[in-house]
Amino acid sequence: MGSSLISIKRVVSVSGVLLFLLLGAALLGLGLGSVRVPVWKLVTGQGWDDTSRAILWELRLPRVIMAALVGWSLSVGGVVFQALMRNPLAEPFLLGISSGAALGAVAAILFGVVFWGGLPLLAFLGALMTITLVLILARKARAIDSNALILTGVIINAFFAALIMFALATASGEKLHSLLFWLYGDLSRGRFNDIRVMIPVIFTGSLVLYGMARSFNLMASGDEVASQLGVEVDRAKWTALLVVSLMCGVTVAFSGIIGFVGLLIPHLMRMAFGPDHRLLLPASGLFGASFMIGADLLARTVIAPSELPVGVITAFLGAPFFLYLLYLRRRSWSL
Amino acid sequence: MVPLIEVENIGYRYNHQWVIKGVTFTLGQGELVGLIGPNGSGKTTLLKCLNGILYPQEGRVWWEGRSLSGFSHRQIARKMALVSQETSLFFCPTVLETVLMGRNPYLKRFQFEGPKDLHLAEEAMDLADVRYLKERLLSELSSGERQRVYLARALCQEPRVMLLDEPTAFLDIQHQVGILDLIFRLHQEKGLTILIASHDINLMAQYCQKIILIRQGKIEVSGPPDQVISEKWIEKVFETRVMVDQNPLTRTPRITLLGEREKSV
Repeated sequence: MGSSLISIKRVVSVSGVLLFLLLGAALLGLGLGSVRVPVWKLVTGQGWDDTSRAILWELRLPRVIMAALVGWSLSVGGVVFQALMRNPLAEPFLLGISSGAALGAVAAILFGVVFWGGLPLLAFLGALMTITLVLILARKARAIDSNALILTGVIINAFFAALIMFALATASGEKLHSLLFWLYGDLSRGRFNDIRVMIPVIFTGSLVLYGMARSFNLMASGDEVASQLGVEVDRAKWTALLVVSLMCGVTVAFSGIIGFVGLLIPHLMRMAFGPDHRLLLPASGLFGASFMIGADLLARTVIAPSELPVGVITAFLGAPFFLYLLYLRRRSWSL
Repeated sequence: MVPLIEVENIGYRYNHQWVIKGVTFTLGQGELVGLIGPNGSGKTTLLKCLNGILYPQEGRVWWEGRSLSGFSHRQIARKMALVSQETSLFFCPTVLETVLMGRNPYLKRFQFEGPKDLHLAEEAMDLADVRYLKERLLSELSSGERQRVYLARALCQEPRVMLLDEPTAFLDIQHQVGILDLIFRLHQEKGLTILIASHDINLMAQYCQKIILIRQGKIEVSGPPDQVISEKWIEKVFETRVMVDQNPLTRTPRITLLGEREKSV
């Protein structure tokens, strides 16, 4: 548990185990669905016909990778927000980042910003605008540490949701379909083109954040404590917020709004492996990725041949599990 | 000789309210100084300015003749440790994890604590007598124990100067003496330069070589305890009547508070 001290060995071994879990989840995600491909066939590559090859390569593989990337970024984003704001309720969705990004994406669709990369760019700008707005408003309330931040996020979230609803009500049938996609969270549109945009952003972002892991430990203990122990707090905070907004903005741009992952996964990992961000960040990323693959698998198999929005699954699994673990937790926090 | 820290006419304001103003003093290598003043007199702000957490809008702080504003937080954290009233317990670390945080200013970006850091942490925990609490969570400790853990973390920074903000506040009397004995021992054995902000006049008189009295953000007077802790100065700074005599054991000045009843005696 958390009492054993963090070391490179521990980070590598825990990450290794979670990586195996991720690979397992990915194999299941590839193999199961309306057309079943046995796992041994996946691994050996034997006995594939053209249909199953097409399904695997063009539909399932990008979808599984997309799910992993989304789960990774939202979980890592949750970890970072919780550390910076010292608030267990902080996560990309609750702070309005996701709806800000969705608003950007909706604007892109409505105003026909169709050039390649325009949509994720606007989603990122929406995310960045939201986090800046939340921070400025909360700072005005002189309560950067308190729940005012979350409340501000929730209110901005509601406001943006209203704007998106307005856009929906006025949109024409064709656009309506594209818009609905952002609201429910849907991984079925994952394509290799999108993944090629996401991977460099998420990889670079994660590397930058991991370099700040020790600073997150300190900032989670208080901004002044962190400065007096050598962290340039303002610079670190803005860097982290920028990076997380970028990662979540890109994620939401391709997957829509998926709640609860950024709240659930970091807490689960904190309870399992302790609060040190040098372990918490990779563990949350990896486990979040596996979780998302699993959730997406459920979303497309539970009521097959129809599909559920994956956001329904994350909330449905997330909420009760979270309550259960909250009840069992060892390391406590105060709101 | 250049003093270790030289505070030159500094002022700090929050919005339009000056919290400290025109503060000038020096802190020599190996001194043990008490900073005494009522609540809200600017003690904490002054310590934060010394530590580079706050930047004074007026004046300058010098470290061995170099301006402190030229140093990064990381550089300052290797020279000075501030032990203050903490802290958020959201990140709920164990005692050992907390103490190891003191090594942060020495570690590179992706670096983990090595055997040397662990060794220093254990030494610091021994000095502060918290090693037996090593695996405990910070949130499970009493405030006296927690204060000692923060001291150990500060020691782990291998500082030359230690700034302490109300180290005895909220502690039972046996713990107050325990903490100050520990601080005094560090001063004697490690030659640390120490500045303690406190409003406990008697304890400061007993332990410190020099006292600075601060009132409404300005230094009223400073000097050895037997010159500064007099009825005249204490009554001026704290705006209450006191009687000063001598502690029969230590020969240091000792104050007795005078209420309505005692005044007529």
